[in-house]
Formats: sequence, C-alpha cells, structure tokens
Amino acid sequence: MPNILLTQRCVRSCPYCFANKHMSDSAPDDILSWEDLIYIADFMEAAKERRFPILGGEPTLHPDFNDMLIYLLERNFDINVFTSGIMTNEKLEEADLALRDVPPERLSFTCNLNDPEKTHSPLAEVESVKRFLKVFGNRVTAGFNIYRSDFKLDFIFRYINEFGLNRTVRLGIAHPIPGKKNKFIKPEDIKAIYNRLLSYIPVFERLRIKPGLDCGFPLCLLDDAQLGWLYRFTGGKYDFGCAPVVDIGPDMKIWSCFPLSSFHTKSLFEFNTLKEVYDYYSRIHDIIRTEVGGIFEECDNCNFREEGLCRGGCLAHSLSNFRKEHPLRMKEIYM
Amino acid sequence: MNSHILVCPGDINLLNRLGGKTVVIRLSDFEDVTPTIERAKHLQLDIKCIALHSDIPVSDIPFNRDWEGEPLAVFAPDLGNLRDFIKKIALLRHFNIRFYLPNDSGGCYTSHRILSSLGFSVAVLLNDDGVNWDALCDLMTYSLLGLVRHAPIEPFQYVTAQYDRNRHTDYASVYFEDPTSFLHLDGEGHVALSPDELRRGSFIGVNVDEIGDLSGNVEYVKRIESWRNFFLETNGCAYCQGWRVCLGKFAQGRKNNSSCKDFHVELMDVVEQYQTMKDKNKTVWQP
Amino acid sequence: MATVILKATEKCNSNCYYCDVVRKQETGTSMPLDILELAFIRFDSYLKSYPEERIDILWHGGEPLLLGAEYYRSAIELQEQHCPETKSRIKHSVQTNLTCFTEDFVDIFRKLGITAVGTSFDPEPNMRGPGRKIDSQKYNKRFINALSILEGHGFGWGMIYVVTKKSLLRPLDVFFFLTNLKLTGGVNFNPVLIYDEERKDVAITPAEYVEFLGAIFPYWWKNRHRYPDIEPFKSLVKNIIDGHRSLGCVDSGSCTYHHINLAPDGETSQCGRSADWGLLPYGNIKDRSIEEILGDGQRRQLADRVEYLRDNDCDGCRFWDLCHGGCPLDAYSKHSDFMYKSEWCGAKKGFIEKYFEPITGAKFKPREKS
Repeated sequence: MPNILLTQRCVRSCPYCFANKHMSDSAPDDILSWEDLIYIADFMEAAKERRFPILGGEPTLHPDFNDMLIYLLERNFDINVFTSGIMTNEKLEEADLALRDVPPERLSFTCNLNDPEKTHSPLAEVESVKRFLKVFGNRVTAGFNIYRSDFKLDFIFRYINEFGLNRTVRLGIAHPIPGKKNKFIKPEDIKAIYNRLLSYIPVFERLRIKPGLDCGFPLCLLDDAQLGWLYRFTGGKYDFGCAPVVDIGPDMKIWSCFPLSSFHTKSLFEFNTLKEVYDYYSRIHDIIRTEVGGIFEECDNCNFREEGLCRGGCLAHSLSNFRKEHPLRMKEIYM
Repeated sequence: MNSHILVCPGDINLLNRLGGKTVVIRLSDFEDVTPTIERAKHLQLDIKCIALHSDIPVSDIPFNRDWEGEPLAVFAPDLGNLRDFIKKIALLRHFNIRFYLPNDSGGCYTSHRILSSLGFSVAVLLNDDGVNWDALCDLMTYSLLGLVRHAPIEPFQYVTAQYDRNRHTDYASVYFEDPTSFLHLDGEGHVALSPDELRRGSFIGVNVDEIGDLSGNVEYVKRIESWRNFFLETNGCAYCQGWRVCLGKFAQGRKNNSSCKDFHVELMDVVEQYQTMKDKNKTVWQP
Repeated sequence: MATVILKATEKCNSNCYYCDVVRKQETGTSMPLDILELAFIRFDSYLKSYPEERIDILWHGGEPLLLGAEYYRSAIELQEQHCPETKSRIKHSVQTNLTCFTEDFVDIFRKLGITAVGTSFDPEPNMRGPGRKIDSQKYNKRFINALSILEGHGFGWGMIYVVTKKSLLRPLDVFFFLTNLKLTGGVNFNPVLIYDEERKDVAITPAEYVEFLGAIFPYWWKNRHRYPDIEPFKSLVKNIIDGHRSLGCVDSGSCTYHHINLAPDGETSQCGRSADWGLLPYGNIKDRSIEEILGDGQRRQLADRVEYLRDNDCDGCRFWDLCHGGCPLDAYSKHSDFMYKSEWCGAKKGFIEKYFEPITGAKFKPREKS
C-alpha cells in the first residue's frame, strides 16, 4: 500500500535521513490539503485498500493532523503513523484527547528512534520522545535506521520495556539517494551490519523482542545459522524484498520509494487506479533489474533471486552506480 | 396553488390555517423542532422538510434523537469542529438530513467535501458575490465524477437529475426559491415569491387563505416570466453559454467579471458526460 | 405540392434596417376579402382536379398579423365555405415578427392548424424596430411578450437570423443568445441581402458569411447534441454525412413548378422578390387558375437555367447536388439575368471546404451525373 506524506516539513535533521535533501527542497508550507487527502482516500477506497500509512517529514506537524486522522478512521481506514515522536506538549495533549479512544488495531505508530548518544540529540528532543512514548506506548512499534556500523540498540530495548511498546523493532538500512549525497551503508558493509545486529540475539531472546527487517536487506549475507534463527524466532515472516512502495507527497507527486524519490516522479492524477500506479513502478523496477540483478555481481546468477526469495538488495545502489558510467543503458534508467 | 409548497414559520396560528398543505417549516430554535413536528402531524400537514436555521456551527447543534427520520434541512454558518461533529455521526446516520453551508473561510468548500465523503448530503449556499468559482468547479467535478460513491452535493445532483439539453434547468428549488414550486409565508400568512422578497416585505398581494390558481395573478406571472427580461439586455446573461442552467442568478456578480460562466458551462459538460455514462450502464432485461 | 406565399399585406409595423422587401409601408395594400375568397375558390378547384395534390399556404407580408384577428376569422370562414372537402389538404403556416401576436390569435392559429410559427429576431440594437430611429427596445419587448404567450399556449416557433456586418463582430455571442432564446433549436442563419447603396454598411460578402459560420461551427459540432436544428449546419450534416438529400428551395433547383407568390391584388409571381422586381409575372387569380399559374411557360426558363448551369458554369463542381446554382433571383440581382449561378454558391462551397469537411472529417460525395 502507498505511504501518504502529510507534510515534508520535519522537526530534525537525521544524518541518515533519506528525506534530508528532500526536506530542504520543499516549501515550508508544503502540507497536504483536505481536498487532496479526500482524493487519496477515495483512490485507496476504490482500490479496496483499507490501510492508510502516514508519513512525513514529521506528519504531526500538519495543522490538521488530529482531524485528518479522525476523518480517515471514520472512513474505516486503519492508520499507521510514522513519526519521530517529537512534538510540543500542547500537541501531545491534543492528540491524546483526540485519539485515546481509538482501538490500537485501528491506529498505530511507528516511532523512528535515534540513539541519543550517537546523534547528539538535544535533551528537549529526547524528553519529548519519551513523553510521546508514555502516552501512546501501547500503540507504538519502535523503528531504527542503521546508517553506521557501530550502531547500538540498547536504548530501544530500554524504551520498549519502560513504555510498553510493541515487542518488535522495525529495522531499516540507510540507502543511497541516486544523484544526492547522503549517509548510507555500502553493500560491502552489510555483512558487518548483520553480524552486529545478530550479536543482540541473546537480548532479543531474553526480552522476547522480534527484529523486523525493512526492504533492501540481501539474503545471501546471512549464514544459515543466522537465517535459521531469524526464521525460527519470528515465525518465518521475512521478505528480502525490494519493490515499489509508492509514496504520495503533499503536492500529489508520487515516487516509487524514498531513495528513489527523484526518479520517475509522477503525479497521482496521471493514474486512474492504484493498480496502474503499481504496474508503472513495477515495470520501472523490472527494467532496472534487467540491466543489473542486484547490489552484488553475484546477484545476476543468484538462485535465490531467480526463485524470488531475495530481490538483490536496494535498487538505489544500482542506480547510483549507473550515474558514474557512460549512459549506454535503457533510457528509463536515466530519468 | 394546490401544487405549491408553502415555506412558513412554525407559528401555531399559521399552521392551523394550512390544513392538508405541503409545507417547509422554518425554525431557528432547536427546542421547537420536536413540538413543531408533532403539531404539524396532528394538523395533517404534509411535511416536505423542517428548515432549521442555525447561528451556530453544525458540530455544536444539539441534535435530538426525536428528529430521527424527519426530513431536515439544516442551514448553518459552517461545519465547526470536525472531531465534535464526528462524535455525533452515529446519531446523524439515522437522520434524513441535508446540510446547507456557505463556503469555508479557506474558500475551497472543504466542509462540503468532507460531509459528502462521510455520507451526508450537503448543499452549497451560493451568494452572488464571493463565490470561488474554480473551487466550486472542483467540487462539482468531485460530486459528479468522483472515484467512489459519496453523498449527493447540491445543486449538482439536482441539475444532473433534471437536466435536459433543450430546456432550462433551474436549481433554485434546492434552496426553496423556485416560485413555480414554493411560496413563502410570514407569520400572518402574507405570501411572497422568494425568501428575499419575504425579507423585504414584498408580497404578491394575496393572503394564504385566498390563494387559488395563481396563473391569473399578475405579479406571480410577471415573476415566473421574469427570466425573459434578460433577453432585453444588451450584453447581458442571455449571451452566456451557461444560461440554460443558470438563468441569470449571478447577474450582479457577472458585472464584476465573475467567472460564473466558466463554471456553468463546465457544469453542463460534466452533467452531459455523467448522463452519457449512466446511459451506458442501463440494465437490460434478462431472459 | 404547391407552396403559396400569400402576401396578405404589404404593410409592416417595423422598419428593419436590412429588410429586402420593397418598402411599402406608406402605400402598401392589404388583400381584400374578395380576393382572399377567390383564392380559396381557386385552391379548391385545383385540389379537386388533382386529388393527390396539397397546398401549403404561407401567410406572409409585410407583417401579416397587422390585419388583425378578425381578418383571419374571416379567412377561416372562407376556407370552410369554399373548401369543405379539400381543406384537409390545405396546410397553413405563417411568417410573422410576432409583435402583433396576442391571445386573440391563439384560437385562430389552432383552427388554421398552425402549431408553430416562423419568425426572425436580431439582438443587435437598432436593427429591427418601428419608426425612423428603429426603436429596437420597444420591438424586443413586444417580441418577448409575444413569445411568452406563444410558448404558454404550447406553440412552437423557429427563427431566421439575418447575418449582417454587425454580426461579424461576435458570431458566438449571437449564437449563444439565439440558442438560449430558443433552447430546442430552430435557428436559421441567413446572409443579409442588400441591393441598394444606402445600406451597404450592413452588407456582407460571401466570404464574410463563411467566416461567420466558421466561427460558430467548431463549437456547434462539438456540442451539436445540445444545439439541435441549427441551419445551415443541420442540413449539411443530413446531406453530406447522413447521405439524405434534403434541400431548401434556394438549393434544390426545383422551386420552378411549385411556388406561387400571391400579392394583395391577386397578381401572382414566382416569389416575393420576383414580385417586388416585376419579374416572372404569372397573371392574376381573377383571370387564371392555379393550374395555369403553376404551368406558366415563363417557368421554363428557371428549369432551363438548372440544365444550363449544370453543363456550363457549374460543370464539374463537386457541390452541384447541394446547390444547383443557387437561387435564380440572387443571380438576377447581380447579373440582371437568371442564367448565372448565385454568388452565394461560393459561400456554401467555401464553408464546406474550409470548415465543414475538415472539422467533421466527412467528405462530400456527389452522386453520379445522370
């Protein structure tokens, strides 16, 4: 299902943020209008899509954030909000008042948490996050984006225990944005990332917290023991995928996913149905995968990729590499 | 006259004189709604609707369960607090209700879109000045060609139902302003041909007890034929492509270079498109 | 079928700027009842001799309704009296400016079997109206009031709009006005015919007429379902796209043996203009029967004209089937001779080639030359 960005304004500048460059390009009052929200809701409803993921920037910055959520809930959408958790006291109280009676299965949050030590977050930010978690903890899944090899998850485990968050951690890996400069994990460093992540196995097991891997992680860098543990501990719910997610911006521009946010950007109004949107971006993905299978040379001949068990890592790596070459490939790759 | 619907206040003495008639009862006090409905039923009046004129937003109106099922036209200055409104939705879903709202302060008819998408029929209150024609056009397109089903938005739905390429389509009826269908009474039973004329005290010289066949009433005939006067103006509304669905309602605004023409032309185009699409979905008999 | 243009009066209550009828407001005569009676006697005789035939009477003028309701009641009585067995084959129609139309005429029209009237209108100020200054405000008010009565009683109506120089400034505005006035269509855009120098300021050329129509046609074509019955567009669609040959008198080339203009004094001629110009006089109904008038030898030259033009001036013209050289009176007005094609042929051809065919994508296919 697509992600809907209520705004491109953000409250912080995360070093890994895919959206960092994107934020600075956007106008300060770039927020989704009611008319466009209703259009998107109709679009989703027409596709019989009942889930409504909300993103930003920081979506809670939208002046009508609470009203829009209440509206969407009344239209029978189930909502997940991706947020930093950073907001003013007033905003938090307002949100609590507006949303406290909504069942958790209808409204949930994924809170992207930064390591306070590593990112040198101001104390006020850290306290704000804690206040948010205290109020909405039972609806929150912690999210963490890996952008450096010496990452630590300890603070997340503390938050999960202290604030009663869902016992799952959504783990993302920072990908390159083709044509832009941002911090990302290089393919050759992913093995070390896996090792470091799975060094926390005893903690995961003791606290019964399940790690969830976001898109773009390759299958091949996990050894059998590691893979086996992941499958057994999480009940086999793993997908080493890379496919169009589709983000819808506040100006109704759409793109395949945030690393590819400058690539084949279209307007939602150019499409009649959600299926058309996914078909379009799936076709683009397939064209790129035809050129190069994945982030490693071996991906081209990989059985796992051929059988659909792994997609070969994030497409953004390949696209970034293509930019360094002479433009001899299919024209769609260079748009 | 028997075919005219009488728009009248809820005055008991007046209602007593209207036995058997079809009425739209104008009220502004919420407390009066239930007793007025009871009274009207007791007098065997045929209630077309209760027109409730509120000074407060819809979200603040104390809707009463007793009003369930009664045809209600609620005129309000705005929708109000959305969260407060949504708290009332469970109750309002049992109501036979249409909300009449002017444009929002933001100018984009957002409230109308929200209400319609939540399943509530809504009408746009249009005044000669200050109509955001572009936004109204967007709303009209949403109303008639939206992606999913939603509640009707007037006057667009009315035009769709009534539109005939070769006749006028006057959507004044949505607002009880068509004198061929509605007469407006004051508390004493004096008859006016529109709410505006009622406000000005411009009556047609008859009393509600005396109204018979109005086809012989000079003022009435003059009024219902008044649209022809546009054809006596140089460069007036009669030169406009959108005339047949507008009939000069926005003549004053037009003088100030209003974009009413573009809107009404678009309305005709969309309605014709809508009707064509609907024809394609005709149900054919099955053997 | 014979068409009798019955000029009941030469008087008119309007001083329309471009009127091509010879001005006879001061001296114009009206048809006395004895001549009218004689006319019905002649009609009855003709119809009895030709049981398959019909007569269409077009009440014309001047302004025919100036004669008053009583005159027409007399006409009805005369028809009842003299055509008791043949009246079912007599059809009445009327061309009027409507400014004299009142409730009194409602019943009369019904008894004459008239269900729709022909009229004309111009929204341009000071083009149609009474008096030296052409008071169009007064005229328009009366016209609109009459429409109210007419439509209120369920009568239909169609109108001619005369395209003048002033029309060229805003063709679409004119189109919208007229189609708003008559939502069910029934509007004919005809070019103004000016024969004198003093009114040259409103005259238009065939090329200008083409551009006027061309300014409207694309919009009309795109929205033709909304604007039915607009001439000359509807006929061209019928003839060129639908393939049904259906032409008016000006284009059919077959008015020769079917038309009679009957003047107030009983004199007959081919049509109104020929009568005004003293051409093609077919004699008086006091002296001649309808059969004799329709068979008058002078009509031969009109038939000869069609054959001549087909093999000469119009030889090879793709649009012969749609035009037949146009109206002989148009040719006469320019050349003082019938044996020329009308200058308005160029307008038809120009419009079809420049606008109709490219916009519709249809190509006119003439029938084989026989």
